[in-house]
Amino acid sequence: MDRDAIGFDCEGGSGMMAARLLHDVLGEGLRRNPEGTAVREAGAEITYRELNHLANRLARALVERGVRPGDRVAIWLPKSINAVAAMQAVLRVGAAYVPVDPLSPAPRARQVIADSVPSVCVTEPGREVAVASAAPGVRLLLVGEHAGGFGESTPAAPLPRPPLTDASLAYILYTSGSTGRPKGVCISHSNALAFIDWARDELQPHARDRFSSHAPFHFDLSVLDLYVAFASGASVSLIPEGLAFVGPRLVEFVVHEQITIWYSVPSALTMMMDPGGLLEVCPASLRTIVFAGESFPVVPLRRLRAGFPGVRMLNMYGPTETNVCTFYEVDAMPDERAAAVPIGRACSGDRVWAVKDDGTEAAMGDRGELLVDGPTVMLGYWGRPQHRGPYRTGDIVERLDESNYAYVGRRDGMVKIRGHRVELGEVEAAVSAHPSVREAAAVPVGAGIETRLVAAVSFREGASASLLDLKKACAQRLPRYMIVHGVRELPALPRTPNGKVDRRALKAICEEASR
Amino acid sequence: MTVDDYIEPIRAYIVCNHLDGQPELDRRTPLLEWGVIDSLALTDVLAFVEDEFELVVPPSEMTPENLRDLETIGTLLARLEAA
Repeated sequence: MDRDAIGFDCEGGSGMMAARLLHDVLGEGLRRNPEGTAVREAGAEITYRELNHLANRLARALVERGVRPGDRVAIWLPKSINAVAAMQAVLRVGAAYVPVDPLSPAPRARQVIADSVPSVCVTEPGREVAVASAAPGVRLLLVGEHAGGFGESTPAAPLPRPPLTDASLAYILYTSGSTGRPKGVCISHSNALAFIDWARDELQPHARDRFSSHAPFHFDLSVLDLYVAFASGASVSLIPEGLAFVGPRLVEFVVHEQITIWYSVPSALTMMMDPGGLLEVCPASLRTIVFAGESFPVVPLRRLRAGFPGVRMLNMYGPTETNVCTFYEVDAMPDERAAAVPIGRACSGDRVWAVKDDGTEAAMGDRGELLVDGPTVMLGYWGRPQHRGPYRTGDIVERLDESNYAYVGRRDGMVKIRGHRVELGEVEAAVSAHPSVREAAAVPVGAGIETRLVAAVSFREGASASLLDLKKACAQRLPRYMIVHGVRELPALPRTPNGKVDRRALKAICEEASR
Repeated sequence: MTVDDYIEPIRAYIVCNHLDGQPELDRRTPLLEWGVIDSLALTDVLAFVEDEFELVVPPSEMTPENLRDLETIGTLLARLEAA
């Protein structure tokens, strides 16, 4: 792997040693609230002082295993205090962390681990073989019960500050890739800090706040939950990944944890209202609700807005490649509003604008592709040349006024399934891997929270496969949110005159069949 | 009711509503892991269970372990009924 591709020590930082780095954010919380709770998980919690010590001990264990500044460290753990501490430990050594989806099937996790070429993988006992097959030679740091990878005997004194600039790589988040393989979005310390500092100033959290952590750690929404909480000495309560969409569980969680600042995809909030009963329970602790990752349909958002009149609501927008680059405050939902709320105006120090098909900038009322430039724009994709200049989001927006934009749709084959980014090509590759399948196309059917992924499939002569077979084929390679919901068998996929799969015709066929 | 008494109606319901009517689901098929029921379908299946058997599944019991397959769901319901 070409280390020069993405910066360990690349140009553009705001100075050596003295630069503020991402892990300094935890230190800020430690100074504000040393004996306060930093992170809570089911049945356990840890104070800032304890988390600081745990991170230092883990950092020393990483150094003992040979991790050096500029390395990557994969973290393949359930969402837990240990995982949070491991992320901080990796940064303290000067390496970059790569969170691996704990719910992904082993082949997918192995793909991410192999691609990122880590020097160490932090994981639980029982996953040694899977890691070894993904990246031979990678060393392990086992944490959790019965792990014994490090312990009370490992000193908790801090390590010397790593020789990094704030342009160094801090973490890699893998997202669905259009070529059928996940791709790693490389985020620097200064990329992350630009967003975190903006969000801290906007949300004005205090040390008594309690943040929810709904998103998994490989999803960029989690950056706000953890680091904005740390920046203010607040606590963050981790929601276990397995049941992040069971509405009644989430409402019970908000009440039990006395959550004050909630952040999730709109789908989760919709399920918290129905069947979760959020509006009836109406937890009094909530003071801010933030959502991002997909459009919030108007009808449920209006109910939510009306149900929490005193609560601040913010719609945030941004692909993983730029983190949050625009936001919109939802202060009212008038009855006449029929369209989804805007994605709003630029934030995090970024500049955003829309470019029309003819290459000129969109004026008010025009539509175009949204471009983002500024401090949150990623370093690039792992293993590819460094990204330079503005980032083209692939999202079509409408310019509403001088500074506000509304989301319209996508340019390409990327869809959102309950806030998760899904490249249809990756689903198609997984379905096509089934031996009975001659060719397959993945088609999103329906809208909003009801969106379903249908596989249009033409089978080999004399062969066939059931929906369960195809789900299983997906489950062996893809995260759960990319598993197809239905299958539509066709003698052959419809083609356009130039031979490409006719997606418009397919969508019509699949929409018809699902009625 | 026994565990088996719970399993068959739920199996039939999932096959009919979430598997295009293909009857190959067995009691150990991983429901969440293979995406047989996703988050939305889970809500629907739990609603069916609560209506059909007049049982309330408390949120604290909605764990990945309890909802893993038909067998674990049947075991959970039998336990809830006995409680």
